[in-house]
Parts: sequence; C-alpha cells; structure tokens
Amino acid sequence: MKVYEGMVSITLTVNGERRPVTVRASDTLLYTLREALGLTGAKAGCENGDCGACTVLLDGKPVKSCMVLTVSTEGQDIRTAEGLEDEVLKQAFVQEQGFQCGFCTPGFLVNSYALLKTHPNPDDGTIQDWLQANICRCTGYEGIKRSIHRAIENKTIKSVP
Amino acid sequence: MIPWNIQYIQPESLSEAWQAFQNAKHEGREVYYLNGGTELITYARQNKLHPEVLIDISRLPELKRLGQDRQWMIYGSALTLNDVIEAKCFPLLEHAAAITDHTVRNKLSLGGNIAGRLPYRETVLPFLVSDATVSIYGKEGIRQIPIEQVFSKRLMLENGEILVDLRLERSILARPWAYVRKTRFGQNVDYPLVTLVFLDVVEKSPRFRCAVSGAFSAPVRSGAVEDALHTHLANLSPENVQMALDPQFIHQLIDLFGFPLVQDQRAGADYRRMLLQESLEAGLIQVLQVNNEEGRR
Repeated sequence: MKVYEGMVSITLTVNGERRPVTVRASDTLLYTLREALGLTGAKAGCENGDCGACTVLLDGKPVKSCMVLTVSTEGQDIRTAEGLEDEVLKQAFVQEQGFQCGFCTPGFLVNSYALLKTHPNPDDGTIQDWLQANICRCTGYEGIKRSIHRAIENKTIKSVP
Repeated sequence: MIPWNIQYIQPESLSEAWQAFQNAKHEGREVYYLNGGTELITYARQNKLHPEVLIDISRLPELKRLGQDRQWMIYGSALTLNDVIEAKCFPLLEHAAAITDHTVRNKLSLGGNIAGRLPYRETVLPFLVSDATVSIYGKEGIRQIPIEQVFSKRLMLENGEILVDLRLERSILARPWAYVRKTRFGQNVDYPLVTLVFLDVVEKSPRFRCAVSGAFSAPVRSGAVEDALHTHLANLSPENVQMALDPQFIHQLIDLFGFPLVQDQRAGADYRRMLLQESLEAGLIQVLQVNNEEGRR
C-alpha cells in the first residue's frame, strides 16, 4: 500500500523521459507539469474541467490535468503538447490557421492527436464528440475543424516512438 | 490545485482500502475514496470539500471488472464512462453514460457518477429500471443487494463501504428502451433539465419501467407512475396507442412522481414540467412502437 503525505519524491514518465520530481500529495498534474517540470504547454484555464486547455495524454487517453493528482500518475505514460513535437498535425493547424490567440491550441492539439490515433478516419460526429471537450474563446472553431480534416487527408500522423 | 496538504493512500485490496478509511475516521480526519476524482478534486479546489485523506480505489481489480457470467453483466464501479460506452453491451446505459465531454469521460467513473455529490447521477437510471444488483464491500466483506434497497435519491452507503460493481440480468440487455435528455441549449455537455429512461420489460405486452433525473432534486423511479402507465395502456387497443399520449394523463403521471419539480436559475419549474411532458411523450412513442412491432411478430 502506497501512502504519500506532505512533500514526496516520485518519478514520472513524461514525454518518454523519466523525470524525478518532488511534489505535494495534493498537487494536480497540471501544477506539477508547469511549475515543477517547466512544461507550460498545458494551460491553466478554468481549472474546473470545463475548458480543456490543460489536456494531456495519460496512457494514450486525453485527460484534463487540472483534475488529476500527480501522485496518482506514477507508473503511467504522460504526454504533453511538448511531446507531440514534429507531428504533422501541428503543420495542419498552421496551414489551416487552426488557432487565433493560441491559448487553447495545445489542448486541441493533444486531443486531436489522440482522436486521430484512435480513429484515423473519424466522421464529423466523432470529431465533434471528442473536440467539444475543448473550448476556444476566440471561437475559431472552423479553422480547427479544417485543421483536423487537413490532417486526416494527409494521413501522415506519425506514431509516437 | 488543492491548496492544503492531504494524505494520499493507494491500497492494493478492498480490505486495505476499508481499513485505511476506518483508521482515518478513527483519527478524526476527513476522508474520501478517490475514484475518477473529477468531482472531488474540483470541489476541493473550490473549498466545497476539505479532504484530509484520499484513498485511491481506482486501480482495485474488483472495481475495474467488465464482463459477463451466466447470469450477470457486471460493471465495476471504477470503470470510466468511456469504458462503459465502448463496452457496447447495453445501449440504454451507453446513452445514459454519454454525459459531459469525451475527455472528462476518460476519468469520470461509473461509481463516482452514481455516488457523487452532484444531484443528477444520470448513469444510475438504467440500473434503477433494470432492477440491478449492487455489490458493496463493508466490514462483513462483499454483499450483493438489490439497488432499490441501497439507492433512495442517493447511494446510501454505511461509513467506509465501497461500491464494488453493478450487475444487470443478462436477459434485460436486449429489451426495448427509450432515452430522452433535455438540456438548456440542446447540447450534451451540460447538466440535464430532464433525463428520462423507459425500459420495456415484458415481451409483447406493454409493461414499462420509468426513471427520471434532472426534473426533481434527485433521480427517481416511481412504482406509482409505472402502475398508472400499466393500467392506462392495458385499456388501450394497439390501434389507439396515440391515446396513451393524452396530455391530461401525462400531467397526472408527472404528479404521481410525488416530488416538486426543481425551480432554479437554470430553469423554472413550469419549464421543467413542459420538458418532462415532452420527454414522457417522446419516450412513450419510442417504446410503444417497438412493443407493437414485437406484438405483431
């Protein structure tokens, strides 16, 4: 039985790297990624599970890192927007102007990445079901939708090593 | 984040979890079981809850069970709502679990939705109308009891008891059903103003079970409503089923639930009554059509 209290030293697996970190048992994964590991791709938006700006992948599934305790992710594979480097999906967002201010973009990228890994050819209903987890307050949804379709067309989403 | 220190415990068995809960209680600490955590962590951040000890039961194998035996379809309480949807075993439950957004559903657990603090608890509706059996772990070990004995507006667990799984008779999985959900703007990602389910439990003869969430202060299944429906429908010939939708009768059904309709900033009681009326009509049309088709076969 694991028991953690106060400050604890654990090792996380983030973007394929083992990252030792000292956290409080009550820290959220979002807080640890940003403040302890310097990975600021996940954004602190609502911190209420509504906006999706803090989305990361946990064992390949998108989750909102503001609602996950860091200590509970020990032994799981954590992937942030930074870990999606070199993905063609990112290019599709650039080509189709899938962002305006950019605050929500890492969350959309991470979620879209998981969507296309799970459903390489998603229909519109599936795209909507997945991406309504993310909010763009600039309301640039058309560009985001085009970006997803561009990425599907290219069919060049690479597997994460 | 939670702005105070907590003790986080990850037990390896149900007995460890139960004992850790008892120990924390004995020490006078505020203790909760952590499953998906979507509600608990946000409530703590908002200062609505003050957990001092969190016991993470989300990895216990008994709570992750998803499968069938000869009699039961078994859903572990730590399954996420997406696990339940992707299982594709009971369409009514899969509709009822498709609440909130896809990403949250990767963490939000079945047990958390049913045992949580939010009043909607929509995923309990299919279990209520199916006369499900629930497995609960307590000081005597695991016991299995009918859901109606342990769910009255909310899940009534004794101190430190754990909801292990929910079981459905396999024969119920293929029965006709109806599901209607109304939100403020018609979007799925919102709390319900009305969620209604019907389950048709007798072949070729209308015998419908009905449960509602959102309209009242808690999820409700009403025997009085079901009896009134049965009596009403028994007096109708198949050609006259449209009379089942008599507005006066539908309003009588709403009153038979026996609870006041919720009146809050999201919707007035009159508006909720209108939505519940529409939902009852739409649900009845769905289940009556399937029942008539069964009757003709």
